[in-house]
Amino acid sequence: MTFGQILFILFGLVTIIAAVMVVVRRNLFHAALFLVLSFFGVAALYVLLEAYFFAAAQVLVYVGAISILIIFAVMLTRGVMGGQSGNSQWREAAVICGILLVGLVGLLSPVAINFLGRNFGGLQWRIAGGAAGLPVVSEQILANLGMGFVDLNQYALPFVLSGVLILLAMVGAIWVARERHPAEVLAERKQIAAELAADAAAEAITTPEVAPTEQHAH
Amino acid sequence: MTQDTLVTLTALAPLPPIIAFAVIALFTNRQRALSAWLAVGMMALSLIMSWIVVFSVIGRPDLATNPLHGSIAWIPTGDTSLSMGVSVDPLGALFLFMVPLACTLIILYSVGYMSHETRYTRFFAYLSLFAGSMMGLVVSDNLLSLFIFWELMGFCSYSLIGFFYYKPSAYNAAVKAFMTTRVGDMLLILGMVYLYTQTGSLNFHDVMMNKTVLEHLAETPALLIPGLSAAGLAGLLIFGGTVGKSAQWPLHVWLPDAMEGPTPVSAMIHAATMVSAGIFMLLRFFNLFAISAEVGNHTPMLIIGLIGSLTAFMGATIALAQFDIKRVLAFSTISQLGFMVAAVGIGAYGAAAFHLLTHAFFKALLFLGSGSVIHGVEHGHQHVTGHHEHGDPARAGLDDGHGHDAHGHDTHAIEDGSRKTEDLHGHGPSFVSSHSSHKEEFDPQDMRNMGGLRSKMPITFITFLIGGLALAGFPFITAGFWSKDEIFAEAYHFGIGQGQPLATLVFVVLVLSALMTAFYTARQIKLTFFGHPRTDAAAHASENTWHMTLPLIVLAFFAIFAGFVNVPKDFMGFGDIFKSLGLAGWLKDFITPMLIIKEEAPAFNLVPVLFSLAVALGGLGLGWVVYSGRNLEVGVPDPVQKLGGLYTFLNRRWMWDELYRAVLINPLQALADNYTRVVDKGIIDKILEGGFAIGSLIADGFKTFDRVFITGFSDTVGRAFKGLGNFLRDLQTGQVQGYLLSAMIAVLVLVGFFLFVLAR
Amino acid sequence: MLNGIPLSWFLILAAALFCIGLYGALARKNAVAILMGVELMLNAVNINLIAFWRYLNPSATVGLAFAAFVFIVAAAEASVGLALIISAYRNMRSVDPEQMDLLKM
Repeated sequence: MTFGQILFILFGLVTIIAAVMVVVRRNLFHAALFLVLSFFGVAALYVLLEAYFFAAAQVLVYVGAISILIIFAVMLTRGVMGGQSGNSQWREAAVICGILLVGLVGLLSPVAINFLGRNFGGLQWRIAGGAAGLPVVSEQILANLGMGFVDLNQYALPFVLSGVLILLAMVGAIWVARERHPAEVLAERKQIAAELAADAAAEAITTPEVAPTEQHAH
Repeated sequence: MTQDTLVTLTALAPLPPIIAFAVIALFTNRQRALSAWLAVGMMALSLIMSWIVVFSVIGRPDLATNPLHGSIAWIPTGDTSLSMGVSVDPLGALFLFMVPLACTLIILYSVGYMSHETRYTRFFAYLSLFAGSMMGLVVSDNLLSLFIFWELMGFCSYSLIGFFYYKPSAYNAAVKAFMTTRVGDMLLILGMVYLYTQTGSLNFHDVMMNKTVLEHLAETPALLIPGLSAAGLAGLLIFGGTVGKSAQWPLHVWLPDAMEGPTPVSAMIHAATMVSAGIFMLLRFFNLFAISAEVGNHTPMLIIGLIGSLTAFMGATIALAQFDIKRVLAFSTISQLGFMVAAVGIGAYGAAAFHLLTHAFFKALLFLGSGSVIHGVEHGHQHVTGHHEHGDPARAGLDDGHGHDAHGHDTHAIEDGSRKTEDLHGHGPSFVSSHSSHKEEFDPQDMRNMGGLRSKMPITFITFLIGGLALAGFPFITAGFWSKDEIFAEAYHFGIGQGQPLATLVFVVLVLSALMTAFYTARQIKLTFFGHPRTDAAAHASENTWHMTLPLIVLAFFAIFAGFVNVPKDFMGFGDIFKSLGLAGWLKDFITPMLIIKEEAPAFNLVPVLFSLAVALGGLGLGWVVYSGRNLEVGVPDPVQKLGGLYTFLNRRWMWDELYRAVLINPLQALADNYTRVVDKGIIDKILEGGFAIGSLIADGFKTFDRVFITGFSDTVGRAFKGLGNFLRDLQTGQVQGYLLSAMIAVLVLVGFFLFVLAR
Repeated sequence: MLNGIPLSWFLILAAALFCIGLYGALARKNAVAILMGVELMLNAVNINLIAFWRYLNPSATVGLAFAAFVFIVAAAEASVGLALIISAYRNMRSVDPEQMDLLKM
């Protein structure tokens, strides 16, 4: 077993076990902390894959920002926990996810598996470098990526649009979660109710229209 | 101007209205006048930009094969790359001329029409977005971006039809429009995906102007459907989108209800945007059908032709028996769109495009004219009744809050009181019913409440008359005549001339529909503008402000002169006159290079022209005679009501709504109501139980098979259905996680199906 | 460092992470926990993207670019999702998705 394999198994186990804890722990705060651990595990895997920038970004974005957001959300909605961690359909969900997992592992397994007369797994990837082993990642790759983000023929448009998306998400989040004065909410509800009532009244007036026509008809 | 400048201008042309939308929505939503004029100005800017492009490219003879085009990479997907861009080819240039003009006029008109509305700025924001989306759709160079704008328009039409969202009828109409067009859009998505898998490109020029690709498509057999080529299947799926958006049978039901929105919105939907978009896309994909027919597969064209003719005929008949001024126009739109689709079905590409262009002008004119009439009558009504409605406590809230528009015009519920009465009594109400009591709602859209508006609203009258004559196809001076005549000529040429049965049918049906069109147009004009005012409101109606009359005048100009760009070259007398101006057959020469398979132009033939003259003049004359004298008096039933049961059938629009309610909506609702519990009790358990149940049922069946075969069989069927019902009951929980679980199960089943059945 | 690690190991790990996240999204009784499950699923996708980049075409930037977009979208999703949860909590005093059934009219 090579050093790389040991590292992979180590970080993989950390990631997976932490992820399992995230979805089974009843205490949401603990779940959030395990989520952080799982994110760290993923970051380590990125290091293993020599995507150092993404490992750093993982730590900054997921561990730093998203986890904090989640922990804040947990604390802001505290006091509503209790009972069990799963909802009423957790058994079915477990079965479905289990089937999906078995199926995916079967499809991706390095050795071919025969199931119902059909072979699964044993996919032959066209690994870069072939028998010579994986090539070294170019020093230039990050620079190329950065250039790609501003190159109109590459990712400039999606990049700009994702900036717009972030902005809109921020504005939307602030708008949705803003504290509203109770009076404002009340006034809005009153206005809607008034409109509905007026409309119902208008309907009520329109309906007797049948009467004069009937007289005319007879 | 250089090519690059023009491409940039084209790409920028849809932007001003969209910017106007953003600015109004975000910043100026409290300043009414500023918002309105911002919308008008931005649209006018867009108009100028588009026209610069149009008039720069219009002289290029090779525009079809070498369109104005610019694109950028949208997103790289592995080895390939999706690009997005703009292009202007002859068809696009035609629309780039018409769409911004109509949109500008409609927005200008709204300044006057909506002036009493409280949510005035919101209206202009939506209207701008609507116009911008249509502009984007026109300049799109590929189906994907066309689809994005297509859906944006779907959203805008939803918000605008439901603009008076607090009225259940408007809300329902909005939902109906959205859901009905969604059915077509689903087909369109399937067609788009299928086309992409077959060609690897969605770019119009790369697919539609490339004979190799088209022939490949025409020779590939279609997926799952025998006897149809890939070209035919993709074309028909895309045609599904047209059926939804352009209100063709069987998805036409949303368009008449769409007039629940304010009148400028109706004009927008019926003329410049929504419904034109459907035909526009159909024309874009015309080569798919042409190549299909070329290799001997006529089914797609046949389906299109039949649906078009049926729609044209149905719309014309229903329009005969409507009293709402806007509803008559709505059904006439459906009918005229049927004309265009039928023209596409017989291969008359140029004629369809020409009729779409002229129709956009005169239908926008008619809708804006009807809005002007409604506005005038409504003001007359307010003049007569003073402020009595404010004294009415039940209505006070609405009046204070929303001005006249909320309860005045545009308040025609799908099942409003007056229609119920008509249906109850078979022969319908008379003119007198509408003002027998002040207590009841005055309907300013009902033509029975009008009459004699000729002298009250002269500009509206003259422009409406021009629009009506164009719709009816009044010979020689109106645009509608030339475009309809073009369709007739082609149908006659292919049908009676060459003996194609479909074209013959189309010719006969369209001639009949045109006759009815002329008749109901005459009826509408007579009922609205002639005779004596039948209500006090009509007697006190007055002409509107210049915001509203100016667009009418401009559109009336085009309703006359837009026809002169395509006068047949050898049309007696006229051909020579327009030849000297360089206009004879110009439009056809301009856009037919878009076709990959050239059809020889039919030589001039007097017979279709005579038909065209006869139906236009005959229908108008008949209508003129029937609706005159005593028939325009107060209290006299409309002559169409003498048709009895047929009248009821037509007035209720061939009962499509009732049919859909009984056949589709109610069963689906019942199914949805009974579609759950599974999640609560456990889908897996249920599946297992169901398996056991079915197993034991089968065992029971075997046991009793030789004893009581009939009883056992029916028991099994009955119990199987009961089991299915139990299985499906209450699945509709409204809970997101339940839906997600169902979706996951569906994904697993589909993937399993793919792995074990399809990919074997 | 990648000596002896086949690509399929990464893919299987990502598949497992995805399934765990999916279970969280399907079965948790708290909307925040659902979001955590979604984040795990997004991470699984990102592992796939970067592993494919490293193994199949390390000289191209496509895989990295898509991974970056997943980051961006995840950030946007988290902020909007959490705002929605907080807003729903204000209105209903609950973050149990089983009690949010307004979709059922």
